[in-house]
Parts: sequence; C-alpha cells; structure tokens
Amino acid sequence: MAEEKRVTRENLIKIHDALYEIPQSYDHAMRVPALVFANEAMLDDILGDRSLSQIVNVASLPGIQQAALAMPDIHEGYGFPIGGVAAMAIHENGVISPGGIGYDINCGVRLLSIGISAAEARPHLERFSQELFNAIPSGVGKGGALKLDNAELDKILNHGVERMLELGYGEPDDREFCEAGGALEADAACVSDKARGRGRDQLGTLGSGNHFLEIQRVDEIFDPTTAEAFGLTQDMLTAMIHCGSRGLGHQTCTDYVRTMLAHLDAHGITLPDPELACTPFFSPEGQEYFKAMNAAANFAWANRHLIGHQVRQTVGTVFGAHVPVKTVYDICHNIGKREKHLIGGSQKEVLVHRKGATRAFPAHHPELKDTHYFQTGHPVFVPGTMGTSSYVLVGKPEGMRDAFGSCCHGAGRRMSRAKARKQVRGSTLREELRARGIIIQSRSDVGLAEEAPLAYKDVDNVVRVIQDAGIAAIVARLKPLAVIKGD
Amino acid sequence: MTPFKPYELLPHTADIKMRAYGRSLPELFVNAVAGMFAVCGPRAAHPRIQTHRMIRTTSTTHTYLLIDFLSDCLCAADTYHEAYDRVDVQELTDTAITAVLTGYTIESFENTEIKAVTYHGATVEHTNGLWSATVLFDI
Repeated sequence: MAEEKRVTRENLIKIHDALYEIPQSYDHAMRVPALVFANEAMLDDILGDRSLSQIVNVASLPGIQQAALAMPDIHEGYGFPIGGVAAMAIHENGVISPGGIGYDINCGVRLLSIGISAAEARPHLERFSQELFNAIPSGVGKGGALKLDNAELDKILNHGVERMLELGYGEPDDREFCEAGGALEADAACVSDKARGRGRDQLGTLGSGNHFLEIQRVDEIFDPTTAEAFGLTQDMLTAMIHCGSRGLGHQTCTDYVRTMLAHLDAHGITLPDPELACTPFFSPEGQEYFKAMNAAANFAWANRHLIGHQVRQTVGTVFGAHVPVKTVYDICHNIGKREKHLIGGSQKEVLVHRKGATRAFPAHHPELKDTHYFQTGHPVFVPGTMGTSSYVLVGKPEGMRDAFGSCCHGAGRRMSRAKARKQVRGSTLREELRARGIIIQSRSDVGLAEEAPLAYKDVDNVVRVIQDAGIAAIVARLKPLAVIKGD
Repeated sequence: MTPFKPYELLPHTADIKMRAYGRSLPELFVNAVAGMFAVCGPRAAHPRIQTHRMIRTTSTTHTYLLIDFLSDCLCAADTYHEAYDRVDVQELTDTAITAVLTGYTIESFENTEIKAVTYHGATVEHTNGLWSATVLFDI
C-alpha cells in the first residue's frame, strides 16, 4: 500500500493557504483523511521525501479519529513521520503505537528566563557558555555524574520532577511550570532491566544529534500581554534546553515495538510498516507500554530538570546568585497523552500521539486549571537552528478544533546529514556564526555541519503557517547567543 | 566474486540508513555491527580496556533477527560504555544468534549516538551469492 507510492502535488486538495488535504479516497486503507499544515513555499521540501506517504499510513491505523495531521515541520521518519499527530479513540479499540511517540520518549524543550539583559550578559558570554559546556555533559558513550541504584531510579521513573525536588535539585516553582507537572502516572516496574541499564547514569546529560542547550536573547515581542504572563521581556536572556529520556527511553521504545510486533496477529492488525507496530490501548501490552512510556517521560523531565539546575548554578557562578532563573515552561514533543477532544459533535477520550509535535492548549483549557497559564494558554516552543530564530507561541482555540490542541516542534529537517556535511564545513560554520555574535561550544565539527541552518526549513515560514492556520499565535522571537552541543 | 564494501551509508533526510553486505549470513551480521559502530565513531578510553560480551538474540525472521541483534549490541554498548570491533558468531539460525562481541571501553562517540535500530524498511536479501541488509538507525 501507501509506502510504495509517493504522494504528489496532484494528490493534495488545497483547503486554504496554510492547509492541504490528502483525501481518504487516496488510499483504500485510509480510515480518515490526512491534513497537511503547509504553505506553497514549503511544499516542494515536504514532497521531496516520504513523509506524506508515512502520514497516509498513519491515517490507516485502527481507531484513528478525524484526520491524521502533518505539521509544517514534517519530515520523513520511520513508521510515523516526524511532525505527525494522530488521535486514537481508546474506548473504540483504538491503538497505542510506540513508533507514533518515538524512540526518544518525551524529547522536549525547557525554557528558562534569566533575570539579566543580554546587553549586560554579553561581556561574560564566552565564560558563561564555556562553564555550561563543562558542567553539562552530553553523556554520549560515557554517561553523566549521577549513577542511580534501582530504588532511586524507581522513584524518578514514578515521580519525575517531584523526586528531583526532594533530592534538592531545582526550585519548588519549577514543577508547576512543566507540562503535566513534570510527572505522568507511571509504573516503573514496566521499564525493563535493559532500559534501566542504559539510563542509569544518563540523568543530566544532553545527548547528541539535534539536542542542545542554547543561550538566547528575547529579540522581539509580538504579544506583550502574553509575553508578560510568560515572564519574558525585551532583550532578556533565556536558556533553551532540548533533550529527552536518553537511553532509557530509547530502549523502552525498542522493547515495546518488539513486544507489539509479536502480538499483531493476535489482535488482527496488519501494517504497511513494522515501525507502526501498535496494539489496542486497553490490551495488556498496551497498558504496560503506556505505563512504561509515562515512566520514561518522567525520566526525561527529571533529565531536563537537572540540566536546568546546572544552568541555574552556572548563572550564579558567572552572574551572581541574585540573578533569578525561572522555568518558563517545560513541554514534550514526543509523547502519547490521554485527552478529551470534541470529535463529531461529542467529547471523546483519545490517545493523542504527538511525534515531533507539541501540545498547544489555549486559555481556559480544563487541563490548565489551577496552573499559572490557565488565563493565557501555556507556552509552546519552536526551536529553530543554531543560526536562526526560535519562537515562543501560545495555543489558540481553533487549534483544539483543527489540530487536537497541537503545534509544530521545530523547523524540520530538509536535508540529509550526509548532504549537509558535503555543503558545510563545521569549522567554517563555527567562524561564520562567531562573526554574527553566536558562540558555539562543541568539540565536533562534523556534528556542527550536520546541524547547519541550511539543513533545516525556514523556521520563520514554519511558524507563519501555524499562525495563518490559527493553531497558535506568535508571542516572542528568540535569537541565539551561544549554543552548547554535547561534547 | 567481485569485491564488495562491508557496508555503506545511504541518503536519508534525518536519520542514517546503512546497507551491509556479506558472503555469508554470519559475515553479514558481523559487517552490520561494524557499520553501526562506524556510524557512532567511538573514541577509546585511556587506558583502553578490552571487553567481551556474549549476546544471544532470538526473533522471528532473518530480517527481524538482524535488527534485534543490532539493538542488543547497541544496548550493551550504551550500558557498559563500550564499542565492539570483533564479532564471533557461535550459532546462527533463521531465528536465533549467539555471538561474542569483543571491544573496548570508550570515552565517547565522536560522530553521533544511535538511539535505536529501527525495523523501518529493513531488509535481508540473498542475491547472486551475496547477502545484503538495509537498516535505518534513529539518531
């Protein structure tokens, strides 16, 4: 079926300037249409890989509701595309798919506001970024400073940020400023020994690839009222942390893809791609994976929390302990969440798979009740590249109707790593960025070249599509000052 | 038989796709492990300490067996902070492999960390006397 044929421009029906539809009639296996949030300027990039064929496959999964969604940063993945959203009706035999969440469970972004202006900070940026680079390991191949025994690991897997606060890391307010309070209902017993082995010493580590810690300045504010509620002011220094659940999450996904592949026949599920492996949500293996995934998500929150703690410590060392460092928000972009959505005129409980997609709940959403952001909607982060902007957005009510309260998660790759390496020299890029006032702290020129800005879509256009589609609105733009990549 | 590369990398937008080759199925598995660690670029620790790990993997097909075996090798590397440059296949059937990995402790992976070995588009084929496999790594 769909994996072997390519969606072309002729298969797309234009709904409006920021939305296209692949109708259900495109492929007999589709249970719902696929909606592609995109504009004309990015269509060639999107059609250049297999991502739309992959979203067609997603539209064929059991229990999928309304439409499979492709965000404007969509690109080819494995099974699900990156930048895909799918809601499955869990009480109607809808499935949960580990590949629809991704190997890096709760990969996400934490944004910290630092109570000092970029102008004041600039003379100290070299030292600040160097100290951050020294303090925060990539953990790639060697792990981090903490090594957790099983009892402590269990507590972190079950309680996430709350346990990190008990251990003395971070500040009490941090927890309220995390999606789901930095912990989902989990059962550490569902996480395998293999996954524990991989993650045991990886807490507080960035990882490699597109993960980073970036020091930024608030370059422009588009919505002053909401920016104020988010604690962001013009020219303020911010720190953006992008990483996930490390080897523990990677192995958890690996374990359960394998389990679900073994149970496909029992559930009568046939798939065009084994990475779409899935199982009814309420099946024993579905429930086990859900609890394990939540545990890995809690590990990811603990990971970003510990890195945030290190940033706070380093700010104290370089700028003084009087400089406040506050968590603006911490949000996941690889996750499956039980949520209620209005579908076909009635409220349904669904499992929303967001793989490379961010939740974007607007003001007055019931899940935000009793949180700081109930009146505004919570912040949404769209990181760009090391040489371009990142954005802070806020969800709009239309996003609940059209996108299951979801938004894009980044710029989205448009070029392979090999091609980027051929076109860019890491050392040259480092110098070019320095000439533009952006300090790069990274030992790997190869890694830099692979993550070069030209390897990504134009993030300004990506968020323009989101805004034009009415899913979310731009609040502020952030510009990089220093980028720390894993060593 | 014409000479062949043990493995090569193929284009992919975001991740890394590899094709490995072998004159026999065991050699294919050995070369796939070599390719996987070449992608990571291990940097040996000082002092370099030799290590051995026995891996036993069972699965349902040749293709899934290769993916699951590579996943188990990756898991061992991540857990023990090691890389492996020698694979001695002790037993290989359609659905099971037992192998001893010989490697060394590492300081880091210089190129990238592999998160997972995926089943997406995975193949194991035997054509004109040559085995080949396609594997996509999530990085």
